[in-house]
Amino acid sequence: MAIATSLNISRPEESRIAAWMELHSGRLMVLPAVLIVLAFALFQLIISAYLSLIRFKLAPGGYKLTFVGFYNFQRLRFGAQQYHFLGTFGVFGPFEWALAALAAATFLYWLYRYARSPAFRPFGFVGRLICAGTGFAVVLLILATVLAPGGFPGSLMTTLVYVAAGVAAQFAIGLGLALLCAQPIRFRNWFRVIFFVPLMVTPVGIAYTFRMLADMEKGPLSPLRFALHLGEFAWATDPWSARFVVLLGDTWQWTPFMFIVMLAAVEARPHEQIEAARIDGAGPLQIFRHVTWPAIAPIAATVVLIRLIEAFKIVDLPNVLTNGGPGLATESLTLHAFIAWRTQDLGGSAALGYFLLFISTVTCVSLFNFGVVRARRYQA
Amino acid sequence: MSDTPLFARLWLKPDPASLAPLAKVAVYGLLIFWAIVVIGPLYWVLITSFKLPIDVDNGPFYFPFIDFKPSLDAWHYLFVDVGNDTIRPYINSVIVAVFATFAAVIIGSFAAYALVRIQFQVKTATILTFIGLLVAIVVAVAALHIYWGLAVIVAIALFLIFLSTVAARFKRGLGNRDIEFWIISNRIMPPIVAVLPIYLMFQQVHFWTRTSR
Repeated sequence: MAIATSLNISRPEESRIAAWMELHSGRLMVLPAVLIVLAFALFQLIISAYLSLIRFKLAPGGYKLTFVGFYNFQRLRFGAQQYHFLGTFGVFGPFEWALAALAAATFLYWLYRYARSPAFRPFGFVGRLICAGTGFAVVLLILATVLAPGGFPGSLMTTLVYVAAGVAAQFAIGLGLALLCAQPIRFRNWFRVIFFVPLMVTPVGIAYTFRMLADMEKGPLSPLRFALHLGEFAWATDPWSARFVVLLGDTWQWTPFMFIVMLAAVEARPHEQIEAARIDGAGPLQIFRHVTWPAIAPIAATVVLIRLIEAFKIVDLPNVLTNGGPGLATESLTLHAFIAWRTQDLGGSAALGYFLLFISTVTCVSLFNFGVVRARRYQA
Repeated sequence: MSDTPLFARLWLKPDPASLAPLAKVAVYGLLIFWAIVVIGPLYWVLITSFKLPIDVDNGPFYFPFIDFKPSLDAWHYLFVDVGNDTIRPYINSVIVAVFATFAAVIIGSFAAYALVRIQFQVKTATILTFIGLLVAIVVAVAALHIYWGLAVIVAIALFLIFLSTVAARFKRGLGNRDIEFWIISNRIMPPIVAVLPIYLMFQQVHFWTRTSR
């Protein structure tokens, strides 16, 4: 009673409010996050879905929206914007057909194995079917636009190159640096601080920095051009060298993120097991394969997932560094959608956004199910 | 130890807690190489900020006082000649960064605490009804030109009727892990999907025609 008096909750209506708050505190705590996500995600998704089905046109006093059905999606896949989104398709030769058949057989065998396994679930099969279908479509796209003669990649392929090559390079370098910084050496705290710096620089600043560095006339690497007898070489005029420079900037910026997370994971690995393995005569590679990797795999899979999500949205670097050029060579999907928006093609921009959402969702959910969840099971 | 050949000694650890001499050289070499990769671009930007346009054009020059005479011209232009244009975007960035971080930490902490401490069970039918009503609002406002306030009130009323009548009959529901994944998965959404509706809404309220100080 004395406590109740001191807390001033003796009055019945106040204790009722306190009891109600106690009862609903969980919901009240989650509510702001749910409302924010609803207001800034679900609602936007629905409006954007509607926008992807319309044509936006400026009209006196405002704008006019005309319903066009799936025209914006068809235009990107089969119509006038196909070269921009999917790319220009080359002609398949025997090599391309053989690779396509091999990919189809691999995906079908994967589905067949799951269908015959005791873990088979109809929902899981549908998920794998979507994953295999998307994977096979990506393989066909690579064959048609990269390997086949006469092919040229569009913004979708360029984005996939940034995502796959960028995330792989960042993870490999980040993990390597983390393993090096975890060694018993002096100045390792200095190295950690230095390696973390690029993450604090704004992406636009990084793009301008790499524009200066990659200047083959006045940049710091221009003497290399003469040393290697490259003549009038300009990286910005070749599609793959331009993509490579964008990847360099992206890797420089995002490696610290991988490094810092992987360093925490490497330092938390079980030292007793490493010591025991060393006493048993295991070499560094064996220790990494059988002790370190199982311990850090769940964190590695999670950090790759987070980075994948962000990598699909790359826009600042290609926009500032190359403005999407030469031609469309370095244009990412987000930059493509941004350019469509600037040209008042709001429907096309929303349709592109939805294609990107589909690709990134399939990739990230697949990685979560086949990477993160399995890595956690493996660790357990 | 003294009988061991020099090359073999380079691979031997002096004690279990330290590295062999060659391994140490390799580790320091790789770390220093990456430190140069990290610092190099920043160094180039820094020294370029002390160059005059003529120094940039006649370059590349690498060392101040040796290759070129440093000048504060660019910094003077940035902070004195167009000082307001430098300070204003900086203050904008600080305001957005501070408030966005504060809001994210507060809202995220509350949600994380509740999701850890309390078990939620949200019925799938309730979520689908909510999404369906949101779609209905968008269609009603955009296609049927119904006043948005009226559409929202009708949708809320329908949702409350659903909750108090039919909702109890459904069993299937989502748990805490589903809610966590749903909140995190919103990071997947491409920025253009979020920006387009905001752009159209601001167009509706003539936001772009207003001037800012």
